[in-house]
Amino acid sequence: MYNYIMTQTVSLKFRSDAEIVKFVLADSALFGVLVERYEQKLKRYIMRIGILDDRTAEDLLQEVFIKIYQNLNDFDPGFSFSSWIYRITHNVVVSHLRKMNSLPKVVSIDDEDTGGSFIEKLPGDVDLPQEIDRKHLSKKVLSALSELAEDYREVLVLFYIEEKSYKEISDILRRPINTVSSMINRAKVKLKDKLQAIN
Amino acid sequence: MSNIAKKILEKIEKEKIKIIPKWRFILFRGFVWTALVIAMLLSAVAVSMVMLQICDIDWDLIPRMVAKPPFEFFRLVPYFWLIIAAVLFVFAYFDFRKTRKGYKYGGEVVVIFSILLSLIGGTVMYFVHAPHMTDEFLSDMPFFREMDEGRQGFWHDPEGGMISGAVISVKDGVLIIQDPGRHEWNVDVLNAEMNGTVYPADSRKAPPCVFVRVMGNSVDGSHFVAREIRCKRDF
Repeated sequence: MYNYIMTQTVSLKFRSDAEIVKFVLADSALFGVLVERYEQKLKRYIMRIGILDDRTAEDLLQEVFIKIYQNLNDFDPGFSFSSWIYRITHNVVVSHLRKMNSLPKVVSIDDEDTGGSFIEKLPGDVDLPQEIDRKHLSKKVLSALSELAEDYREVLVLFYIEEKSYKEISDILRRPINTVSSMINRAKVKLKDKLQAIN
Repeated sequence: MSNIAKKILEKIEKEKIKIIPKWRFILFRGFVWTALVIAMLLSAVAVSMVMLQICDIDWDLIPRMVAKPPFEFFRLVPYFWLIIAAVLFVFAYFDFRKTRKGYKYGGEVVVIFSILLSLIGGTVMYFVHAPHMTDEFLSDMPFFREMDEGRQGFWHDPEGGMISGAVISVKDGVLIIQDPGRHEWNVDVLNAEMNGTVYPADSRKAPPCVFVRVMGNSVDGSHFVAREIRCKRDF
């Protein structure tokens, strides 16, 4: 069985997501291919939008993949599979945060690379002081990010870190593209304010 | 295969987790769209009821009612149907958002489009007499009857030269009308005008409508001499 899955996994490696979904619907053992393809991305996404520790993120990731598996028949090939699973992930994380009944206040600073890459990707209008030490700044950015409202944090993560287009973010958050665009702009202003307050 | 992939596949196998069949999603989407269509149709009926009640107002008689306390005029506002239309409208809005592509449109676009659709639907309903049929269907229900009587009561002002009510019968040029307070009036309709022509009192025929508004003069608490009769709801 394991060998069969491994063989199939290799043969499916270069197939599109939509094609793999068709294969999984015929043989659920191949679901592992989709899990492997997205587990790292989704785990990072969960940690970033939920500001969660590694263990909680992994639990939620399992929940996400189980939901994806159960709802495979609901996937519309006319939409992007990636957007669809990010949407499910968004729902699971939001539901988890609501259950916790409060947004986390403390940022995990293990992922300094996230903060660093975030700074690089932020446009000039955020106008971060260049002289500040990059590592120190990473922590500050993550800290500021964690203090943003959930909606604002998520659009920034999706746009700058996950590198999703406006259309993809619109599909993930189920908001009109114009709304996404203005949310990103507002989120940038809020982040700038937070960073200035921290400085 | 990664650890998480193995764990997930084991969990699926161990807990016998199944892929939800496609028909359930199709059924759900069908339900969402059916609910949307029903909500839009009902909101169109509610809008047509609003139109009916607005058209029922004799605007030219309003100046004669200035002696009434201002709050009396609010009786003419079709609150009930406006509220029903609004509730259905809100339901339809959120239901549309639940459709696969419903989120792609801005809130204002959906609202404007829905209002236009309700108005067009309401106008079509009005011209196919849907509100008239609805009104007749509901008229036997105590709640709607009371609401209607309250509204018709606005036009009942014998001292001011106007009575309104349901036609009971006509005999020898006398129309028997039951006013909103269930009081019967003998209305002398000889020489009265209806729809621009003299009312054929000697024909012993009741006017071709359920409700009438009669302008004229009150003789006493039960007798009224009509000058003009207005049909308010056709048979």
